[in-house]
Amino acid sequence: MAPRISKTGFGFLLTTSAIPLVAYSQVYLTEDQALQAIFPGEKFVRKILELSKNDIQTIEEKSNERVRNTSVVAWVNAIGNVILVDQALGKHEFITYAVGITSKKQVKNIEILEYRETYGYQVRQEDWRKQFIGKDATATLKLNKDIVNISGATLSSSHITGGVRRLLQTYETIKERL
Amino acid sequence: MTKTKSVKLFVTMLFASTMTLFTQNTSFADESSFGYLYTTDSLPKGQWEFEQHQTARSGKARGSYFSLDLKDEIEYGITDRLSGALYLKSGYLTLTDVYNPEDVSTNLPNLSSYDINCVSLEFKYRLLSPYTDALGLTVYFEPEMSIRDHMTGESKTEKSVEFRLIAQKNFFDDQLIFASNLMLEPEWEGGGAKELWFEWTMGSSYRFRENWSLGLEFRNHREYPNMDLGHQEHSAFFLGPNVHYGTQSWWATLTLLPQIVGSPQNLGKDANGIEIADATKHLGQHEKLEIRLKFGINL
Repeated sequence: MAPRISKTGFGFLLTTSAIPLVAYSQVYLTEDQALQAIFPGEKFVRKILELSKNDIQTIEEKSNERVRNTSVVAWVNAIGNVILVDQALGKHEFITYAVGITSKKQVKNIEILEYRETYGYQVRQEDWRKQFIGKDATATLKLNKDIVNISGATLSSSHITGGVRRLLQTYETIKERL
Repeated sequence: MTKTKSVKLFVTMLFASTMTLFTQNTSFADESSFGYLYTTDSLPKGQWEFEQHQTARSGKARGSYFSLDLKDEIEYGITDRLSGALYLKSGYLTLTDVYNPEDVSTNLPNLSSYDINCVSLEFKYRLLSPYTDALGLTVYFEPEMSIRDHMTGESKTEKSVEFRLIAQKNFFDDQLIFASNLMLEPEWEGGGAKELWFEWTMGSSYRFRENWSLGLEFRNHREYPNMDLGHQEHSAFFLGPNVHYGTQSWWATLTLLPQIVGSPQNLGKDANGIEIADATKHLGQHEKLEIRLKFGINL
């Protein structure tokens, strides 16, 4: 006969399995802090631009990425530097990130503002982010091609890479209105 | 309480307590949007996860039958592609006046108890990722040692090895997941009996808002005595919905899986010569309804 355990033991097992669950979110940078991290000392003005249907079609065709948000959050300054703040899909929640673009239309750097995923925090590391520096709208920006994947954080790496590609096309499409 | 019972109780409590201690230091995991399917995702290297599956099974052609199967798992990411896990499977089974599925002319002993069923190891190796390749593909291997039949509650020594091929395809920025598993499980019972289990599962899950996914799962389970593919003992088809909630610190998935159709529907005659049968389902080795709750915590 198989060994049996009393209902007390059963109850104990269930009780100990009811583990205290701690949820927490992580905001690393505000938008202002991201501006200073990418373009230290420069002053910016925040604008929100609405994308037209034509804008969305152009961006999607050129980036091969879906446009989820028709409003663009852009910080612009007098010398033509721009920071676009956007969200990419994480496994559970959105990842908020910012892409700084110089007046020469190249990426100055990217910053992760909010990241609430279980894994993949390596996307915040400078070594990974600096791969985007100098890229422009003509860059391939594909994981495992010109951007190295982070093993164990593939979904986040992939979606942020696609997001930067989309934002560079967004910038090209709306730069005259910024 | 006998010495053996005390030892088993101690082992169970030790396992549960260890899980609890691990999970006090949460960070987080290899989560699944499905109750019965595996996906190709694996734990990153160096990460630990605790997972518990609670499966309620109920509904026979006669009598009262309820089982709550518990599977406690501790999993570790050996590399970013390879993970290993240790399981303890146990269950609470209560049955009254239920026929023996192996010989319906007799009834199983009436029962109401919690028991340990088996321990097993799991290894999962991802060949292709659905995020970077056209199709995700993972192979799965699970050797198992059982001491109790989770269907009948009878003591039974059994060894088995589960092989699984897991495929996954994602769409719409990975919001929509399609997955399919093919499972083969040869079993060797004490006394020389052997059996082959075959299972095909498939399903989809759509993340409709932050943290939340909804989906559908399909499962077909078949058994072949003596590993003779020409002689199918039974087959049962299940179909039902699932809902998944996942956060940085924990996740849970609930699946309702009623049996849609199965065969044979006629299980034979009882001691009085009356047939035991259902109009559409196979209620010998399966039940009318299964409900599975899974939750996971990264350690």
